[in-house]
Amino acid sequence: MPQKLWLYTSHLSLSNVLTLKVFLGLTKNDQIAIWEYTENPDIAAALLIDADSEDGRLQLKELIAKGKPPVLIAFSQGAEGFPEDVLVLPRPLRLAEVIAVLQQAAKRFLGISSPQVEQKPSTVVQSGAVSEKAGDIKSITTMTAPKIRRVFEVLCGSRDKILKVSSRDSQPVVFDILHRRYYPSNDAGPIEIENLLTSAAQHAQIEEININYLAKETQNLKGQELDVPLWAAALAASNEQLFDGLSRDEFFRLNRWPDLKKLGQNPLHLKLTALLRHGGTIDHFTNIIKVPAGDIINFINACHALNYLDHQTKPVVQNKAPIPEKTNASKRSLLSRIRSRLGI
Amino acid sequence: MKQIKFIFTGPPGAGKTTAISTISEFPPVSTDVFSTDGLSSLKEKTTVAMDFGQITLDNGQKIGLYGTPGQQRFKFMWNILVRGGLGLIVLVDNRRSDPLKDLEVYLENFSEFINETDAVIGVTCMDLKDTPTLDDYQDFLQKLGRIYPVFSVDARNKEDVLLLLSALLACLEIS
Repeated sequence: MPQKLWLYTSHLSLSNVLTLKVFLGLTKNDQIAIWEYTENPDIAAALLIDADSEDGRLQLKELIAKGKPPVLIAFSQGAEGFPEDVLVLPRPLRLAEVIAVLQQAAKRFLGISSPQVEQKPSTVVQSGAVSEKAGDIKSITTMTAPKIRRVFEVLCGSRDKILKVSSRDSQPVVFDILHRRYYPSNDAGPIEIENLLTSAAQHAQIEEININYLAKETQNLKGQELDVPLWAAALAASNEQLFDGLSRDEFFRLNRWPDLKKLGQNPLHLKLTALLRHGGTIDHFTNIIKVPAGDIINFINACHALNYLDHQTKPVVQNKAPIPEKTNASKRSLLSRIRSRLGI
Repeated sequence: MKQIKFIFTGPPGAGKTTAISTISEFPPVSTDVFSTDGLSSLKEKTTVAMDFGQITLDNGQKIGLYGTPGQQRFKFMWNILVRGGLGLIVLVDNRRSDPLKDLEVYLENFSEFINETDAVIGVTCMDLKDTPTLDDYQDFLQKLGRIYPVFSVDARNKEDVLLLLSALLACLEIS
């Protein structure tokens, strides 16, 4: 009788996790162990770590030093340089190699600690943390980085994908991120969608849907525009902290003018849009329009969520060049009088 | 003293006269004639010289609202009208055969003025024809290396016209 074992991953990209989940499903007929995916490291029989990432390498070192279960599997380009008790799964993920490594892990684990085998996780979920520069999503590791990731962050890191998201509080919603549409499976309104988007990814079930199955998945469902709830969710969850992948020292510039009529008219956002059109750092923006940096950060996060933002590290001297000067006093006074006259 | 003004431009039938009348203190003074070309199916009259509206500030200063004639054969008027202009409002009729081309033409013809001031774009009649979308307009501007405010507007709606002016003012305050 095969045992049911749980695999936990750390620092893997979302696409790798999704692929891995499919492969795990193919262990159902295995004689030794049936593997399932878990987000709970405490019940995992094996831990698969992306050892090619710096954080992953550090985590692996820490766990090796502790010398405790679960079975450690390093996901790496190179098979050398790992201790003997660490199994190595070579990149990229291939079914035959994954199955072989899992069989080894199962044997090793069952020889060590079988009482944990039958434990079941409270939730089986997909969680994610956005890493924009790499364009991928890394799974959360509660061992080293217990930061909460929101569903919308997972979406923002999967711009060309179709994801089906469900949680305990909501029916499944299909997000076609590339076409900025979502398909709620019930009468979920914007507030419910916003709540789902701002909920912790670790409490949601997220699965990728092949584009060929989009029509089938969304049959009889009415598509809605994703921009408005995504914008609202990003503003709501921003909390004056730049999202992952953005840094305070970077040079930010809009690549297009957000449709603020649709997203919600806000005089400050109009000003910030005009400012960000020219580009600059957060410190420069605060100097020019004298608003709290937190408000600017929230706006930058929202623009980032909708892919309206270009950002890059630039030397400070270059930051100054494109920053607009304030208009002279007489012009400012004229513009202010016009605003006052028009009530805007 | 040079008249300070906002300039409304765009192809015939885009809603320039209507937009000006929406916010002007008095019904715009228009130099309309009956349309005799293909436009007659869309509108009975068309502007041949300019539209003129006005708002008065609390210090008594008058701000002109000038609409250019839409047809390109009246192009010679455009350079005259922009003198003293604070900024440009381009209205584009989404029902026309190639509204993106229309936009390009007006941005190009007013490029010197826009470089000195700024511009905002209002797309009208999107309720009647929803393509190109606002994303298409933004993609198009991105290809031209420009970023301007673009909104779907109804020229009869005061809030919409004020949104255009508010965005333009925000740009002018920063530039």
